[in-house]
Amino acid sequence: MVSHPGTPGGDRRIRPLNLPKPVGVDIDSEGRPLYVTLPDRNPQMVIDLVKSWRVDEEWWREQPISRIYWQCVLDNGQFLTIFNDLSDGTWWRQRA
Amino acid sequence: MRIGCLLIPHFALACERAEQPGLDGGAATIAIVEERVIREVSPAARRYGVWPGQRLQEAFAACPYLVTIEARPGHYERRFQVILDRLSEIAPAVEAGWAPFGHGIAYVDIKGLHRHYPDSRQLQSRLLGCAQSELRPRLGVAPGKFPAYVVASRLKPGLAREVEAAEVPAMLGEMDVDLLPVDQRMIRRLHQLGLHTLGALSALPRHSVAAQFGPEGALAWDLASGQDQAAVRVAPVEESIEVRQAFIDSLTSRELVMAATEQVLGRAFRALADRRQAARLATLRIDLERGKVWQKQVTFKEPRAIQSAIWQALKPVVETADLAAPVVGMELSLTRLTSVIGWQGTLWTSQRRQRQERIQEAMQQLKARYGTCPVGRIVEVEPWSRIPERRAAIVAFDP
Repeated sequence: MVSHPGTPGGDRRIRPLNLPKPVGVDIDSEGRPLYVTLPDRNPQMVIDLVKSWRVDEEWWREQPISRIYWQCVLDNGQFLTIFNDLSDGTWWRQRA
Repeated sequence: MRIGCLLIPHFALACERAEQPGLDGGAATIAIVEERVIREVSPAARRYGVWPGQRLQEAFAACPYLVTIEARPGHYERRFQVILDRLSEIAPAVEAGWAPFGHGIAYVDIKGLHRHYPDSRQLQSRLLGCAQSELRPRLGVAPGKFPAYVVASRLKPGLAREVEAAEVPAMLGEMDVDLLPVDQRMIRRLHQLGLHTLGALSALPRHSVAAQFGPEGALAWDLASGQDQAAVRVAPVEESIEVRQAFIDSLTSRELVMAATEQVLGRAFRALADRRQAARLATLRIDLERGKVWQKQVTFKEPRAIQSAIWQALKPVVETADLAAPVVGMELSLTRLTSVIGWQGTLWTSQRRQRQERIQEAMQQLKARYGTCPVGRIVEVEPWSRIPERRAAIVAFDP
């Protein structure tokens, strides 16, 4: 029998691609993003919200997924997709 | 001959009770259910008329307060294997008398162990300690497997008792015929004939019982008379290559399961190639969430010593596997190992093959340099998913 290599399996061998990254967002009274702060950058104003959609998945599990995605254009011309995780209120950016 | 019988009644139920203390208590009406069929019931539920083999609907009609638990056969098997492994550390001959639903029974040949354990109580305590106390094990020691089982079945949880050969006939005489390891139809017939105890059965001439029930009747008479010469049968150890992989994030797509299987096969194949051997049998076991298990054996017509040839046989099996829940682990074992007698190589290798070999070599060098191979392969997982990170995954390229 081949002995166990001793190294943990699983996560290292199969990793999800395109994991969301944390981002700072200031919102208006209706919950729409006003300013987006990327890590090590100055806050950028959102000049246009292209579209928004909501994702509710796995509501039958212990940790359901509930997000509101926003596709926005920043004042430096950057096109960005961010989402608000409704389970804990945190903001993330992700290629969608 | 001295044989110990470690008995855990209703093993599946004992596992669930050990893990969910809320289920404890003799009055709890509990049933373990698999595919809407009752597999195991607590004594309290049995009193309400709930039986293994009953459909869930019928069981609820008989006992409206029935607590049902989804069966986890793979989990029970692993837990029992741990007990067997611990017993094997104490005694060389251990036999499992176990089925996913039923009593957990392990027979241990303790002949000769008195040299290591002059005090028999110390040995009993060690054997009993091989099973967690929450599982409520009991240990019977007697000069045969059946008497040892009978002794264990009479004990309270956590207790051990040794019976000498002279005590066996008297002890067996008063026991119920339901304890006999024979077909239930025979047990029913014995009751119909008024033979309720082993003593009543052994009082009959052996040839009469054999004439009525055949070889099974002769066996029952022998056991009832305390004549059990059956030795503890140790499962033959077969040389094998086993590779296990656990997934912390369970795999929910067929593509990912395929990629993981290919990766596991790659690891198993390297061990096979190192030995310069070929395999005749591949057994793939996939652990699913909630302790469910999917398992399939693939027998090759001829021993296979090439990874692509083994994958060719395994791939359709994984593609069509009926996986009822997300995958949390995987185990591949290659067995019936034989030596490779002849190898017909090709005279001209294709460009594609040459390119693959060069990539493989480059990966091995990277792995040798960094410890792990930093290169991965992107696999589409759920391209239709609304959650972006679920659409693709990176599978480590493991040379």
